[in-house]
Amino acid sequence: MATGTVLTFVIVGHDDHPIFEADLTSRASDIVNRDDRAQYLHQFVLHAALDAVDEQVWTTTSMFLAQVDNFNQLRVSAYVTAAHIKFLLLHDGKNEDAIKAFFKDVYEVYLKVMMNPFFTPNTQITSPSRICLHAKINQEHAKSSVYPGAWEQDLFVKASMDGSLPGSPSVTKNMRMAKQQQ
Amino acid sequence: METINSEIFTLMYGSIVRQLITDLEDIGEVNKQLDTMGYNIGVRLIDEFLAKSRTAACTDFRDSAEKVAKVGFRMFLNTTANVTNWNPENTECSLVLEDNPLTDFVELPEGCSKLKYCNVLCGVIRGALEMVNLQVECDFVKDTLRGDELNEIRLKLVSEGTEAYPFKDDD
Repeated sequence: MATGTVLTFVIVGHDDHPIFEADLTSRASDIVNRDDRAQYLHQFVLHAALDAVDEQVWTTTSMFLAQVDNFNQLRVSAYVTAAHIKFLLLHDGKNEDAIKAFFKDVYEVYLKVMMNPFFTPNTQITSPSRICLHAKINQEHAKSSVYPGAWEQDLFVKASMDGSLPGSPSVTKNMRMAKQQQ
Repeated sequence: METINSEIFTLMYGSIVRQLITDLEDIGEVNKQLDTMGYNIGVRLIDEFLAKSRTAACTDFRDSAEKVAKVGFRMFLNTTANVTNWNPENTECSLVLEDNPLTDFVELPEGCSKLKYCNVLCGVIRGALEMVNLQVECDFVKDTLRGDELNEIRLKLVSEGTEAYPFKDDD
């Protein structure tokens, strides 16, 4: 199994429907060598964690639930909003403060999306709000270089200059080309 | 002036527009309806404006446009507009809104590119000016929601009514 940073973020609405999903993996190699089976595993782990979230949400008054579940080295942290929308982050490193800050930032971005009168709560977050959310998450993420596995600043800077974000197809393509040249 | 929380105001207006789109199912109709709603607000609002703003009578249309932009928008929307782009005859001008509290948080969904989200403002201006004997046409020509850099309302004076006594003495 390819070793690398695992970083998947999902927003889960009521009835456990995912309404937003983002792979925040920053490493180009991870994107190129993405293992489909691992992706399924991640989905599965996240889904399994929902039960743990449901149990733990009533044990605390805080919205941040810290690590709620783990599977081998994969950890799931959660943040539950007042309206019981769940933010889940799947990661394989440990940095609680950074994750807490990340959730807080995402919550603020999410609120902006929520406040849009054309957005129906508890439905899939679609374009263009989705793009806005996506971009902001990536930015916040880059700012707090806290995540396990070094965030490749160069890649991010390069990508943001040509207007694309890490993980977008054009970046992936560039990286592939770079690899071939090597 | 009494004030309300601007977010409540913004969200309320947003729900109205959204409901109109659901009910009327046609963007053109929605624009028309918003304008009518604005007109009905405007014909009432002018009284409040005159009672509370303590401004002197306007000398000409230029003056009126300036009052709408600087005093009216300040009173009712807590923002101001700049009056620019006068035509040589002084009958047409643009109101450029610096900041529009109605559009906070708003992103137009796909398929609504024809929507004049703030068309209610045009109706308000038209209704209010009609009550002070100025027939105007008002149109939202540039809208930040549709990708323009600024919000621009084009204001056009159609006719200036004469101050006639509404009925004869012997009636």
